[in-house]
Amino acid sequence: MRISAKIYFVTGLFVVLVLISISYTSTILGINKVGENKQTYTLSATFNNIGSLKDGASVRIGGVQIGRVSKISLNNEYQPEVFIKIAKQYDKIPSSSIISIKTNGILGDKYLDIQLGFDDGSGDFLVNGSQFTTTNGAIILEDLIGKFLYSQ
Amino acid sequence: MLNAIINQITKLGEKVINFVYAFIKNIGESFLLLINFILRKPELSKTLNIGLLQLYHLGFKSLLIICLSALFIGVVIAIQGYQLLTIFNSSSALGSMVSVAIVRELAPVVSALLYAGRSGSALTAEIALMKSTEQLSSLDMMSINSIHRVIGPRFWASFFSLPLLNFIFIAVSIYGGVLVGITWKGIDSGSFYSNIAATVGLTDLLNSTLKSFIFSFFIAWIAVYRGYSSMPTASGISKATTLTVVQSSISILLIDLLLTIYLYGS
Repeated sequence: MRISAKIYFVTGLFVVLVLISISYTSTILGINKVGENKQTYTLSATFNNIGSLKDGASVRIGGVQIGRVSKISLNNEYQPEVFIKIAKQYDKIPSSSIISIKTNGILGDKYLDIQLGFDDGSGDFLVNGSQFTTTNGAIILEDLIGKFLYSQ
Repeated sequence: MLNAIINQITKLGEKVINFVYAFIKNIGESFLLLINFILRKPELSKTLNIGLLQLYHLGFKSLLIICLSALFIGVVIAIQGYQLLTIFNSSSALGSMVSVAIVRELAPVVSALLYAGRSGSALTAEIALMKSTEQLSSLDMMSINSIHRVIGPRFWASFFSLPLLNFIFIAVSIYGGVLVGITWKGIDSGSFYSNIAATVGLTDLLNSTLKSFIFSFFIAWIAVYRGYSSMPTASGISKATTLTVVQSSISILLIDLLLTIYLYGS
């Protein structure tokens, strides 16, 4: 049976479409950040407990998002260390700033909140690779309830 | 009076026995038909072109209905899920909700139902019309095996089209969820995607593909058998087409129930 070239072409197109959708799906299922190639710089912070903070959680100053969590790991002293990527345009964060883990509502996602420190005019800003000195870990609701119960 | 009742009961019993007999005969016939073209050396040089043509007719031409319904279903689930999740202030979990529902259940089942309605019935009608116009018999008369030449390539093309369409369904409907969640409702894209990555993994994608392959096996089998065993009349063709759609839809849903218990039940 003879088949016209058009049908070969269209069937090939079908298979290509399938490959595109497989790659799209696996990108979404496998990789956290898609389509973000803005200029960023990386900071890190060590917490005593990060709760349920996830890769890709947002970093905010006063509620406005400026970056994302890029990696979470344990450092040499087995303390959780969080690496965050912040957009290049926000490069004037004083090094005395405080970073803390907060929650959207009671059940919502965890995010990082930066409270700006005092800028004394010496130009002491956080640069690529530097670390936050003051951190506030996640508030674990169960611990709070436990403290409240057993302090009676 | 008593005789009439006994007569009725006798007729009922006869009907039941005939039904069971026909049922078992159907299973045996369809199984033999399946074995006839599965357990043999494939003659790719002769049948590949026919299969490709069928892949075009059965698979590619279903693309529009699959894409449209995938987009609509993704969007609708995302809207409903958003309403529910905002109550708990956790709307960023929308991504995982949509993708779990789509990848694990909706994509294989809905695409299989649509495929059975669009392509399974077309396959049955084509084979049944070939039979009623005695094209199959003329092939056999020219000592060309009609089962190997006509039924086999159609079965395989149908078997491989549905899993391909399933991938497209998943991608398009997740994109529908992204459209609602990120573009419309403004959920933070980072937590949206990371929630998806945290809940749905490669295993789910493979399970979805497995489901799709099993569904497409049964759809292709039922469609081919119903066409091949149809009565060679106009009403026979319509009956065969109806039976294809009804039986494949029911078997899809039943097999999905069993597979879901097996894959996710424990």
